[in-house]
Amino acid sequence: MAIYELSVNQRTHSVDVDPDMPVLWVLRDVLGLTGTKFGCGKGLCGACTVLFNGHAVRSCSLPVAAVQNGELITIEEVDKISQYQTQAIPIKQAWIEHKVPQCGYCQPGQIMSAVALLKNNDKLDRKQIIQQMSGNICRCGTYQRIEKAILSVAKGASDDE
Amino acid sequence: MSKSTSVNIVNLSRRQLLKASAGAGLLFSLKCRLAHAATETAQKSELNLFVNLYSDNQLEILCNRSEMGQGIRVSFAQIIADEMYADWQYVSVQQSIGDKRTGNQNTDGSRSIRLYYNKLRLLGASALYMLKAAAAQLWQVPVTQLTAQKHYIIDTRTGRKAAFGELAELAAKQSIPDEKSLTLKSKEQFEYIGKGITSIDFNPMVNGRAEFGQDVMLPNMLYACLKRSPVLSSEIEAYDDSECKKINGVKQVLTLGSGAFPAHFNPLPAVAVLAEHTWAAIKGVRALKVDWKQTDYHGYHSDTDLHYKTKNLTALNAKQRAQKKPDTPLPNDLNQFSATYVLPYLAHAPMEPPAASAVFHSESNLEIWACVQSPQAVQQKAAQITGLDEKNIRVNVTFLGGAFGRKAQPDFVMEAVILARQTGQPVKVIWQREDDIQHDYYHAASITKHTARYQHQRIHEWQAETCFTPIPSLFNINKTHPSGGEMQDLIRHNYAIDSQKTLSFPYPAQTRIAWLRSVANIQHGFSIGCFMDEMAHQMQIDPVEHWQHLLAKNDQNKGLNAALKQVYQSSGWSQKSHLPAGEALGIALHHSFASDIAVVSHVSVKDNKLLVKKVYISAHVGTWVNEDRVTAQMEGSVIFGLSIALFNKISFKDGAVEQSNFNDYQVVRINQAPEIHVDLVPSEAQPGGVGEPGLPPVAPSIVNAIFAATGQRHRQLPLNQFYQV
Ligand code: FES
Ligand code: FES
Repeated sequence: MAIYELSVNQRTHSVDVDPDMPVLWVLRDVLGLTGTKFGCGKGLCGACTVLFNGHAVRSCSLPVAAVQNGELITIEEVDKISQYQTQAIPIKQAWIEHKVPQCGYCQPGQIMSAVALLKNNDKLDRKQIIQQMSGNICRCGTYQRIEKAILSVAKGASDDE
Repeated sequence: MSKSTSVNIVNLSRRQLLKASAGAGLLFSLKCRLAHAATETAQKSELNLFVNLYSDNQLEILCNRSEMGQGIRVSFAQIIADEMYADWQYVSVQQSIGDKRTGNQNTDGSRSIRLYYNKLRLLGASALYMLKAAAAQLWQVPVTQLTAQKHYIIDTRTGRKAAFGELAELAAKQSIPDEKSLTLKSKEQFEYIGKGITSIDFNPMVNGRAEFGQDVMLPNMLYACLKRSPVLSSEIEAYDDSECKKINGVKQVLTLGSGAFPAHFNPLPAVAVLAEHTWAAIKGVRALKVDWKQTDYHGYHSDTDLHYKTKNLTALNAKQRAQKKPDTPLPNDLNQFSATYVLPYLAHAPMEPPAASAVFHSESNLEIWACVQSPQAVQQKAAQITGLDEKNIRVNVTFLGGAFGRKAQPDFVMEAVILARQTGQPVKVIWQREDDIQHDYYHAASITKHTARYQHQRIHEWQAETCFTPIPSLFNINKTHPSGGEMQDLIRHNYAIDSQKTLSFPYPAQTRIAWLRSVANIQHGFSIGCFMDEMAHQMQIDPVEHWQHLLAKNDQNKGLNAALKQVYQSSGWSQKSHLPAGEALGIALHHSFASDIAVVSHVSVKDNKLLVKKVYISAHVGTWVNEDRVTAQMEGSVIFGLSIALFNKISFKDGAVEQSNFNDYQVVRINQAPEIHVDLVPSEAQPGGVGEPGLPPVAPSIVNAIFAATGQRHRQLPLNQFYQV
């Protein structure tokens, strides 16, 4: 066990856990941030996606020892943090406008992947979206709507220019 | 780990958690309000079991069926709010606990709207009647003089009006009206029913605040992961937990469960590791060494067994299940054609693996939080294993992160109940994905042989023979033939075929078999959908024309005919010869859950690479409540059906499941997802099922399209054994 200082949603938390504990379980069981979901534990489904230093990462496969020097952002607050608001606010809105969720379980991970995708490239085409989102499984089958929701935001971004 | 500040958060009481600010990401509650919540001072009045009205106008509607992505919560609210003439901005939904008074809560069989549509309309109309009666009393005018509009009762003579909230308290004191005195809206008057109203649950879902079974946190809770018996009925021989107990955070190691029959909803024999957090429990389970007793089921190899049974089907003990005798003798010189279709076992793989939490508030008082399809089944089973009275078992239903039939079996809840009793502490049982894939209640593997005798482009005689393990084997291991319900949609006598016969063959249970989305219609829809396409080819007619012949001259086929007509148009079937080489359309139809669905798939096969480009699905589902959620269910059925067509296969070796996670039990991802075009065919009929009937025609339409594109006929799934996908 060791004490780790973690930056989660721009607040610092100190947690005393084993170095191999995946960030997923730190967030869920230690910090009570259950918006980040457990789907496979093996980096196969994307349900656990969070942002680490602006990149979408699978928190189930990322040990806590690896994230001491960096910023973690989760679904609960991604739209309240200035660096990500430009993408996260319209993405969450688009998700509702396109009526994306069915059971909703995969959607936090989908949204975090989408935010990272847009953050790094706001002029996306269909092919890029599909390529970048293929790590996130939706067993309910909301893919068509996910694609449309992301496209609507990506287009908005390029229209502005 | 007790030093860290964060632990304090975990140890907050549930009440504090509920009150914690959304900013901290800890607000979770199933009570998702659309607008502002009822003010603290607002007084609640119960107009009936499903309708609570507050003095500040908030209208709280009870949903007694589980939400697993089908949109049942918004749909229930739409029905009641519509009949009440309520203003949607005031509507919220309260999830019912397990409560027999609310009626049947078993959310399966695509039945929620079918069972409750009329009842909920009456409950809404009844609440409205009580509001009117209250106004009549207040104003001393006859009820007949009153009308309702957008949350107001209006006096048609004087124009004066009173808001629902103002009348709530007095309304609750009125006697419940007789059903016969209620008038329901006509279809033209509907304001919410039939519309694609945005689900009230989207907001918490996109903000990570919707509470699923995996998300429940209780004060002083232990997290449990289990190592379960890999083979049917195999008990623990011995186990060694010495390495496990060395792991930081592991608190206790306990055993539970039994391999005795009936399997029912009993926990499997297992060694449980209880820990301070999930990670310690996961590591603890990995460090366990367990020896399992040998059983007869250890010899089961599903591939070998299916192959053997397919070859020797008729040597098994046949049972005739149905017969349609010809009115006149069949013509001589009929041609004969037969084909056999084999499908593997399937797992549900809901996105959220099963999870349940339980706490004994006292020796005789149990509370449960779980993602379950049937909270009453949980109460019953928990009462049976604890000896408690059902009324002292409170079952809170969380959101279900997908279920597809898996969460109708509360074996995972019983694990939490048993462990909470053994430890005297709140326990959350977390299933990992490997647990979910390897210890599911599977969809049965099946073999179906169809034989047709035909002449001049007409089938005169059709024999269907099928063999699969029945679901009743879960309750009685000696049940080996499919039950009547499981045979239902294989035995349709509505086709223009003179003579029909249906037989079944026994397949003794080798694992736990239960309901998976569309149930036996998966194999029925597949085998019939493929066989009719093969017959069209044999008789050298277009498959659509063949289906038209089959469905002619029978009113029972109205829905299928309507769906067929729609999908023919939408898919551009008549233009299909213009598609480029290697691309083609394929069609399949199926009736199940009182709904009729036709699907056309557009595939491309090039250099052995299979791509499903577009799927057209036309659904005749009777009256629908939420247009958007019904459309979403059809989209979801296409993706689920496509996973079955392309990837899904559970196999057993030495009695144990060979697959373990999404690497070897693949499901469709966005890069394999086709464009989906949904048509809902307007209908005045009573509501039909929606969650399941869309699935069965998907896989056969793809197989038929591959045949049209390549001349290759596949009678087995999944297709990734033949193609790169
Ligand atoms: S839970 Fe992390 S990728 Fe599936
Ligand atoms: S919405 Fe259910 S898994 Fe994606």
